[in-house]
Amino acid sequence: MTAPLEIPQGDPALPGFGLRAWRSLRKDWPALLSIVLLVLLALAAILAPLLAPHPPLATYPDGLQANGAPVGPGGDFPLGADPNGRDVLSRLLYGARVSLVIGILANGLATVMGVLVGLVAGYLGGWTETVLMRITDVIMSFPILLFCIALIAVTGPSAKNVVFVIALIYWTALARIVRSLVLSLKEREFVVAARTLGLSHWRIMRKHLFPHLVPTIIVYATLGVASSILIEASLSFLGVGVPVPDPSWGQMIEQGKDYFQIAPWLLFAPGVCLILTVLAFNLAGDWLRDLLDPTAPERR
Amino acid sequence: MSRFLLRRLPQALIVLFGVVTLAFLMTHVVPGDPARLIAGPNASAATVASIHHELGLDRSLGYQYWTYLRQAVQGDLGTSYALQGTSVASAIGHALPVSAAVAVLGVLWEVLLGVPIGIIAAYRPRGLLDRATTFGSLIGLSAPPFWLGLLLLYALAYKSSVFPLSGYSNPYINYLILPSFTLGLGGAAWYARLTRTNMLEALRSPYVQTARAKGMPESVILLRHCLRNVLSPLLTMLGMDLGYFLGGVVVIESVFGLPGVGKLTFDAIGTLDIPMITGAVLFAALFIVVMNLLVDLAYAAIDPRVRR
Amino acid sequence: MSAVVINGLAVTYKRPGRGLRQETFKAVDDVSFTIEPGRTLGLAGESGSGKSSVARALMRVVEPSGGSVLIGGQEVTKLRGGDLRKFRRHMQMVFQDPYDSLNPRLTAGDNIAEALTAAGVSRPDHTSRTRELLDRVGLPAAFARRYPHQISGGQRQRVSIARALAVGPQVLVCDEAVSALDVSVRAQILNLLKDLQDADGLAYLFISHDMSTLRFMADDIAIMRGGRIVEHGPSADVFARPEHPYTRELIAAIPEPGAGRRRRRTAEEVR
Repeated sequence: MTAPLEIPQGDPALPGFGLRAWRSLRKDWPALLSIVLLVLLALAAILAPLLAPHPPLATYPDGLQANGAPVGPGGDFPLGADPNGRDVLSRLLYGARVSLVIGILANGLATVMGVLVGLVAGYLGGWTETVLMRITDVIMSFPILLFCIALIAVTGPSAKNVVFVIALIYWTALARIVRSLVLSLKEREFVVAARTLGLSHWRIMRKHLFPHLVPTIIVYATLGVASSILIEASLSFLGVGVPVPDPSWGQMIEQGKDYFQIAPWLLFAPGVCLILTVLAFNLAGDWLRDLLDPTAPERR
Repeated sequence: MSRFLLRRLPQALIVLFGVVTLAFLMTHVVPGDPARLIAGPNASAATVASIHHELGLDRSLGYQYWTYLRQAVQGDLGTSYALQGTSVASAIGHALPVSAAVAVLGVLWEVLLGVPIGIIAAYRPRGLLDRATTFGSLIGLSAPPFWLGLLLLYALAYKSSVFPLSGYSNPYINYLILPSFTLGLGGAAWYARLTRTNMLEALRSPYVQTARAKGMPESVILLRHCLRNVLSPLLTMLGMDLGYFLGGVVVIESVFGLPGVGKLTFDAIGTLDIPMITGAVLFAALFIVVMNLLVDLAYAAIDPRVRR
Repeated sequence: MSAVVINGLAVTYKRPGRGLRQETFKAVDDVSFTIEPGRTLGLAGESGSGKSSVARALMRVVEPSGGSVLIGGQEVTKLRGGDLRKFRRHMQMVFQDPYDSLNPRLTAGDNIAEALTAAGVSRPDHTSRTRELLDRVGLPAAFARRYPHQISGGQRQRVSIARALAVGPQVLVCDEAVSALDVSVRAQILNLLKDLQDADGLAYLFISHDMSTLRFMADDIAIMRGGRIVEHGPSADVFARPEHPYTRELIAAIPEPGAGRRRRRTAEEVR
């Protein structure tokens, strides 16, 4: 009958958490490297106007050779020029803004939706739960990318729509996880006690259920940013993401794909940026899982 | 078992109904006017109106929905706007073999690459090989598939002409290997992780300890006792992937220029070909629902606890 | 007026049966009793006998499938939504598991403050009220700042009692409230409960599988078996002249210090 006491070491709300986090980070060098990388990336995105050698949208005649092919890396264009004679490095730096902002915003929105739906469905149960979980099933039955493309085709491509569409499809996985957590949590005596006190549903969810979900939410939100960035890149690659001429990494790959025989750097630079960013979010998420929530299931 | 089916089947039907409704709503609350797109920019208002009438777009949304639902149940998904005279069902029927071939080969690659890597990684946990495969699979998870595809095209089709660059003609298998490999490469990472986790779990179990104590060769323990533990989660993932791939993998088909269901949908979106978009999305979702159902049933057949 | 009047209470659980049908399981069947203010009814029985279900139905944590529950004259089974929520302050519960009954992410003080919020006590008064409540259950005010995992099981149970008292109940249900505690701590908590009852005139529904605890606590005893009450009467009578064989079995199982061998023989004779 006696449930084990909440593992206090995984709780960010308890004192000494920062020290524990730092100790485990020092032992886990891939995670440490990832976090350094993410900090650098965020700085690069914020300081893009200062760091970029050229404006990202400016076209330069000397970025193209006499035969119309873009010039390679070196000289005035450290990472080469693109088929329109624009500086690849500058576009990469500005592209980091798009990837990060869209990835984080979309996934943040998805997290809020997923937690709300999972919490309400799991706690209230009954018809509310049946309806919410069937909606979740329906959305999960659509192939993610196809669904996004169709939705964006209908709503029109824009950065804002990309964020909403990704959020609209990505909340489902977290909703399921949160619901199953809440189902077991609401049988715990302190939650039953909160009910018998006559606290409102909203307060029980906010004060007695939600805080126990936080470690899991942090883990999945971090991992989810990686997926959201990948989806944004795929959408931009297919031409239904961030509209031209604003640079996004996926879109840069799309614009480079017809030239990759003569200008492979057009693929390598944004591709490497994408991989490193997504990898860093994945590694950071895995580290957070080990730290906060070792029992969390592997996602897919 | 039949009890489980009795409970699970209506659930799948409800989800399917939701899928049809959502697919319909998604494409019929369009701000753009497909009639105007068909008629062309110079058409008169009267022409647009007559096309409207022809397509049934002048009827109420409820009526359109009811008609669509009634016909969809009979397998009639309507007629394409863009490809005049072509029924959506037959267009999908033509594209399906391509997607199916990529899907089956893709899943095959996933298993062929992922499972052995997972076994090797589990053999000496935390060893060099384990770390290398863990890291490799993480990169596989993190790389955008379209980028992997382009990279493979660059190396194997452009630099050395082992495979054709793009398109789809006889001999078809040549055009399928790279796309399916690209598809399998990313997924293989998941299979490797799954295999590793479940193998390790089995290796720690009492019956493996007993087998070891009896002096059974390590290879027999790994392959006969532990691999069995991996089978049912593997089956789940396989079914889900197959369902997902069968509906067409847009990015891969677009990179390699394959005329599959994904490409069909993508092209339909460019021309606002609503019956085609709805039909293809519906079709893709149908595969996922059916495969999920099959996976659940297979799971229940293997593990009686699931039946509840 | 009686604090608690329960009449023909029934609790039924459903579980999936053959096909799409549901099998039902009667956990509580036609249970009736009353408790006067300031008195304690001890409810005994083995695990699975339905005593916890009675408590939970009374608290409206599970829905009773039949019968009536009157708390201070108010029919509880008919209350819905906001009315039920407002009425809940009249009946409170002390739970079994001191490791699980307090929210581990809130301090002891904040756990009690949740009850004050439910009772509509204004926020500025929370600190002083919490201090008073801690004092009533015999804990120093400094405990308000401690987390549940930083205090002992007995102390946690005191905080639980303070939380229940915070909303000013007329009825306190103690569901195996001392069973998880050491014997010495158990006695302290039982004495505390008795003191609180004398001071406030609380009615207790005291559930335990342990007859010696009940002999100490209860004015009346009800014995449950298989969802029904098989014996019911004043504590002294039940212990002196048990009528139902099952009751005799339970009483015979009470260990008596220094009398182990003799008692065990009596137990066999009784059978």
